[in-house]
Order: sequence, then structure tokens, then C-alpha cells
Amino acid sequence: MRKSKFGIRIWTIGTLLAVLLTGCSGTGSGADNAAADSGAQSAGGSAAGEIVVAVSRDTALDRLDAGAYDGSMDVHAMIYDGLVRYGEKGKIEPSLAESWDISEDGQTYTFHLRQGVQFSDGSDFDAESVIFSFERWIHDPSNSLTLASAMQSIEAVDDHTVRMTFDRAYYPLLTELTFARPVRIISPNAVEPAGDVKGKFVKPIGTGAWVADSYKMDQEAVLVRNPNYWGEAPKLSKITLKVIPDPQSRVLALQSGGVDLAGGQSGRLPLESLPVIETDESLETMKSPGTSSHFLVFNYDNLHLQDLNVRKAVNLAIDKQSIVRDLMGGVGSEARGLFPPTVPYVTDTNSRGYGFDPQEAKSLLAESGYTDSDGDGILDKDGAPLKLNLVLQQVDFPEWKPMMELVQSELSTIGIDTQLQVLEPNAYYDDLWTNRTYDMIVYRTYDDAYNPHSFLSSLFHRTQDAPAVAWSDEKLESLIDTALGSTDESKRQEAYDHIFTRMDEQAMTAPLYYPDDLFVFNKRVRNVEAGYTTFEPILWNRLEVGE
Amino acid sequence: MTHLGVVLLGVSLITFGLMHLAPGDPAEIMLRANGVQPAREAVEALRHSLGLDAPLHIQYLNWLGRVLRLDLGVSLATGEPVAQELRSRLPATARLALCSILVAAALALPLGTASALRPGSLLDRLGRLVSLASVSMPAYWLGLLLLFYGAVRLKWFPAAGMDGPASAALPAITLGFGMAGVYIRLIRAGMLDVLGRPYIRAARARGLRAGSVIVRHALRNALLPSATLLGLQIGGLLGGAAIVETLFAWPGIGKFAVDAIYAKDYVAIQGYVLLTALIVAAVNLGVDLLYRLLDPRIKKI
Repeated sequence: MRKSKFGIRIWTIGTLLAVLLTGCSGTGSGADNAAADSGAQSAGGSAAGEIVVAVSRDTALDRLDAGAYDGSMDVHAMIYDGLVRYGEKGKIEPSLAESWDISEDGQTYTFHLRQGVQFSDGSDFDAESVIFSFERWIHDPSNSLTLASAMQSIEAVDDHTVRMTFDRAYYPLLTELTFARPVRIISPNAVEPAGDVKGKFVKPIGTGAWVADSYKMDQEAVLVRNPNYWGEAPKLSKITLKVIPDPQSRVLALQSGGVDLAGGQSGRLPLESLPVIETDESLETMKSPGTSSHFLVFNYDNLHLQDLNVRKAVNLAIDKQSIVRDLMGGVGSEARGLFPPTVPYVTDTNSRGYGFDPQEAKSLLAESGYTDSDGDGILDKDGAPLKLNLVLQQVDFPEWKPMMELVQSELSTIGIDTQLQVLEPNAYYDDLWTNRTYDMIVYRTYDDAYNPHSFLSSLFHRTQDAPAVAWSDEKLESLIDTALGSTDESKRQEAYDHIFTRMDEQAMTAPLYYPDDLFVFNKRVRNVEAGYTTFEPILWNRLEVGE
Repeated sequence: MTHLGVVLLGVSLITFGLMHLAPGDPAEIMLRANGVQPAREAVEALRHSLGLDAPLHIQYLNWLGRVLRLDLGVSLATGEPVAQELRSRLPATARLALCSILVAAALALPLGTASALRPGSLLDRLGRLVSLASVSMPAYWLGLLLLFYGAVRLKWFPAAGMDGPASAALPAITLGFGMAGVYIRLIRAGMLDVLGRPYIRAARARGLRAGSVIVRHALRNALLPSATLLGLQIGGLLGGAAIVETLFAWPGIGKFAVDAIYAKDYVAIQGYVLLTALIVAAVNLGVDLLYRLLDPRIKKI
């Protein structure tokens, strides 16, 4: 009996420690009062006009300088406006500039600015503020926009007219002006001393629909509606961006009601959680077609891959439908040409792709003289077995591992032996851009506004000191030059038709998959509509909440 | 003190060397936002402005020179002073570390003692089960389970983040539970050993109360090995628990270090490594002092 008494004592100590633990949970809460308050509001999820959005990384709201490549692009686009905006399929729409004229030679752009616009601090938006914003970064040599390297002058014609002169005609200049950064307009009062282009950034002040309210590093950024906003006023009064780095935790946070919306590229959700999400009655999903695609790059130095029939055979051997259906849970669509149809200038006729036909693939290989002379199941030609290595990384793109395993097994059925090589992201990028030790490497096209021009120039066009990265073809390079320099819309379409058709016919790549962006939101959030660029994943201003 | 200096110097040299052996260029990684490959001139310009184009030994000496003036430098990835980055994250990590030690103690002290007092009893078997589960259950999995039941089903705790007092509970239980197993076994073994010693029999024979014998005479001596282990573990805990921090969106130092590694932000990593080395040294000093409290014999030396 005595012994059981000790047992009780010992458990008492345990309980005491538990009490201590509760105390420990309280430590530091004094400093975190603000956190507790906003947490209480958001966790309830009922405050009218406010939502909590989960994002995977810190937004860096306190240093969200319009002219710097730092922090969340999504928030850049919420706080700052550009002169023009990227609409559906790359259509350039007015924003701070109501209209613009382009000179005959395509080298002078005159922007007519919107009148009566105010920054969130109440100061006036005018030509001076446009020039101030550009002067802050345009001379920085580490800026790689063509806008910067081609710009010769920027001047105010009057209070509401700005003229930019460039040393060449380059149609994507307008597209570059839609970017989230560094081209957006910031108030001269956002730096110290105010109005000094070399001044130190102190506070994000833009003309956008949202204003920075509060920020806790690695925790959350709170944005509130800009009372001075010139456009359609947001229906929500407050959006809290909550940092939740782990994808599974984001799903659980949605399920718990602590978060109202997550998804897209800034808060990617794991596809394997989709069945769970779909059975949750409080949640709804939205899939919006993205603008990027995943594809295989062929190394043009590889002797096998220099044979068009081999490249075609690789394309034909891969079942693109199976990738979407069996690996990606039906999210996304079957790849055809290199770019999905959401990308400007892509049409059904210029981007057909190869479909799935392993028999045809085998006969193409046979036609090129590939036979299995030693009976090991691997084709060979002139004594050289058809063995290819395939490089991938899985930190940024975990889905590539199963996808490449599928490709590997499909290629083996037509007699191509593929070796998978998984690299750490930095080693992967070094291989892709510089070392080129791969035979095939999986990559993806850039997002939205970089397609197709910027992506084509960086992968399929030579630079001053190096040949093209992904496929080197002189005819293609001259077609790209034509497309980039043409100021006439229909001529440009014609040039792109030639480009896409040539890439397709020559099987310069093996397109695999067009991903969709997956969004999940609480049913109390209404009017969820996808935007047209990655950095505007949701049309925030239209969102509403209801019970 | 000189000892500590040599250790820190060695640690920083090794980190610096390893970082430069790994592939990738910090300037390129910084400019490669959203996968868009930067122009070569842009990368060169940035390398120059960050001082990355200097020979390696110069880069290291520059860094060392600044550190000797107590300046940890500016993070390559964020442009903020590293000292400030670390300082703003350390409290969250320390808070989580403290809470998880308390969880571990709350589990290990009673279970370890009880299972030693009555070997083979139900409590002993429970202790065995808990310690087995503790060492074999990955933190990631336990954390997800706790999140699911604690935040989604019961809605007792917030799902993520550091919002108010309740938010520390789940990550602290995840970490503390993982630590508890070893301590349960250590305390049990220590107690069994001590309880058989003559001085315990003597204390009992003198008619001291059983509770006082167990707590003041037995447990105190049985805790020595646990204190050693705790000293080693605190260093690790204050270095941040990247997985648990990521899972629970805890704004701590571990996640920061992992991000810095991917960004090849060697200035931040060096600062982080120096800080952890200092903490480990300080904690071990603390543990040595704790020994004197637990074991008066050490006082004389």
C-alpha cells in the first residue's frame, strides 16, 4: 500500500509539470498580443469581409519595394499597379495608363496616364512618380529586363503623359510592363529622403487595391483595402496572408477552418490530398489552367538524339493522358505542343503534338536502322546501344519523380534504356544551363507573362557567348528574331505559327504535361475567380464572404 | 576561452569550405526567381556587388574580419543583417525548446521512476511502450496526427502558426514526445541501479519517509546521465527543429537555416553555425554547473 502512495505522488509531480507547461505556453504571449488578437479573429473565420490565405513562404512585406526583386510577387501585385495589366491570353489591358501610342518604328511608346489617381498615402499619381519609379532601377546592370537594356530615355511630356524611347523594336516591352516587379509604380514618399531615386526604401506605398497593414516575419502579413483605390473597390476589407510552409499543414489548416483559401503556386497543395479535400463538406476546389508546361529537353550533342526519328519516337512512346489521369489525379491536361493553349499565339493548328502510338515509335526507330542485335531488349545501331540518361530534381517539383519513372518504363517498351539521375536543385540548374551532361532533362516553361517570347529566347536562342541551351536550330533562331521585332500583330502571329510548327515537326522537345493550378477554399468565400498570371492567382478584389 | 575560439574558427572554416564545394551560385539562385534564368551580365554584376567574385580565401578573411568586429554580415538572400535575422527568430525557437523539454520531463520523470519502482508492473510496461513509440515514431508523422486530431477534429488548437498560448502545445508535444523515450529508459536504469545501493537501504533503515528517499536520495542521483544528455540536446533544440517548425509554421531558426542552405546564403549559414556553436558551448557549461547541484561530490574538485 505504501508503494501505491508513491505512485500517486509521482503522478502529482507529473500534474505539476503539466501545469508548468501551460505556464510555458503562456510565456512570451505578452509580446504576442497582437498575434493572439488577429489569431482569434481569423480562427473563428466569421468576421465579415476578412479572409485568411495560406502561403508557403514569408512575404517580406516590410521590404516590399516595388523596384526590388524581393518578397512575394503576389503582394507586389496587390499593393502596386503597373502602367498596363496582363489579361486573358496575354491581352494587354489599361491600368495606370489609360491608353498608349506606339510609333511606326516600334521604338517610341507614349503612355497617357489615368487622371485623379492617388497613392494610398493620399498623394497624387502623375508622370513624375512614373519616372521616379523607373529611375530607381532602370540603370541597374543586374536587371535583365529588355525594357531596361533597350531603354534610351524616359521623360514626362506633361503631367499625365510619359514617353519612353528604346534602341530597338521589341514587342514584349508592353508585356514586361505588366510584370509584378520591378516595373510597377511606387510613391516618391515611399523612400527617404522623399523623392530621391537613390533614397532608402521605408514603406510600401502604391496605388493598388490593397495596403500593407501589419507584418510579422515568418508568420503573417495583413493587407487592408485601399480607401483611395481608383478601380473597382475590393469587397473584402482585409486579407491576412498566413505563412504555412508545409503543404500537408496547409490542407489541415483549411480543414480546421483556420485558413479560408490556399493553393496556386504561392501555396501549393498536395494532389494526393485531393480525395480528402473533396469529401470535406466545408471546402470547395477550383482548378484553373496554368500557362506553364512540363517537358523533356533533348541534348543536341547526343548522337542518337540528333536523329529526328529518335526524338519523334520518344514523343510517341509517352502516354500523356496517363500522366494526367494516373499520376496527377486528373488535375491538368494532356500536353500537345510545347506551350499550353493559354499562352499567347498558341493555336490548335500550330501546336499539335504527337499523341501516343508506341507501334509508330518502334517503326520509326527501325526505319532509322535501330535493331536489337544482341537480344538484350535494348536497341542499338552501329554497335552503340540506345541508352539515354534523364536528369531531374524533386525539391521544387516532387511530381517529376513518378512522371519520369513512367517515361522510363514507356521508353523501355520501345527499346530505349533510360537511366534516371536525381540531382539537388542547384546541381540540376547547373546541369541544365551550363554543364549539359544530360541526354534528356525534364524542365518546365516559365509562367504566364514570360511565355512564349522570353522562354524561347532563353532556351532556344544563342547568346553572345554560348549556343542555344535546349535545341540549337538556326532557322528557329531567325524566326524568333522576326517574331520579337515585329510590331504588327498579324505578322507576329504568322511568325509564331512558323516557330511552333517547326518545333513540333522537328520534335525539338517532348512535351509531357500541362499543370492546372489547384485552389481550395472554405465555402463561405464566394466569387473565387482565377486571375491570368501566377502573381495574381485570384482576382482578390472580387472575393466576398458570406455565411 | 581560447579553446572556444579555436572551435568556432574550425567550425566556420569547415562550413565555409563545404558551402563552396556544393553546386550553385548564390547570385544566380537569387536572380532565378520563379525559375526564370537570369542573364549572364546580370549574374556577374550581382556577384561583384556581393563580393562573390573575389578569391575564396579573401571572401573568408573578409567575413572573418567582420565577425571579429562582432558583425555577422548581411544575408545574401534577404539583404538584412544576419544578426538581426537570427535574433528575431531565436525567441520562438527557445520558447518551443523550453516547452518541449517540459513535455519530455512530464512524461519521463514519472514514467521512468514508476517503472523502476515496480519492474514488470503495468506502469513499467506502459513506460516501455511509450519509449518505444517515442524513439520509433517520426516527428513528421506524429505531428500530422496531432494536427489532424488536435486541430481538425477537436479544434482545440490552432492548425499552424504562433498565435497565442495554445499554439505551442502541438509542436511541443511532437518534439517532447520524441525526446521522452530515451529519458524514460535512462531514468529507469539509473533508478534501478541507485535503489540497490547501500545508502538507500541506510536511508530507509533510518526511517526516512519513502517519498523523500525516492526523490531526494534516489532520483537526484539517477538523473545525472539524463542531465548530460539534456545538455547535448538543448544545443540541438536551440539550433531549431526544421521539420517540426515547418510542419507547424513555427517562425523559428531551423526553417531559416534550411532556407539559407538552399539559397547558398553562406553568410547567413556561417552566422547560424557560429550561434549554434556558442549555444552548445554555453549549455554544456550550464550542465557542468548543474552537476554540482545534483552531485555534491563534484563540488570539491
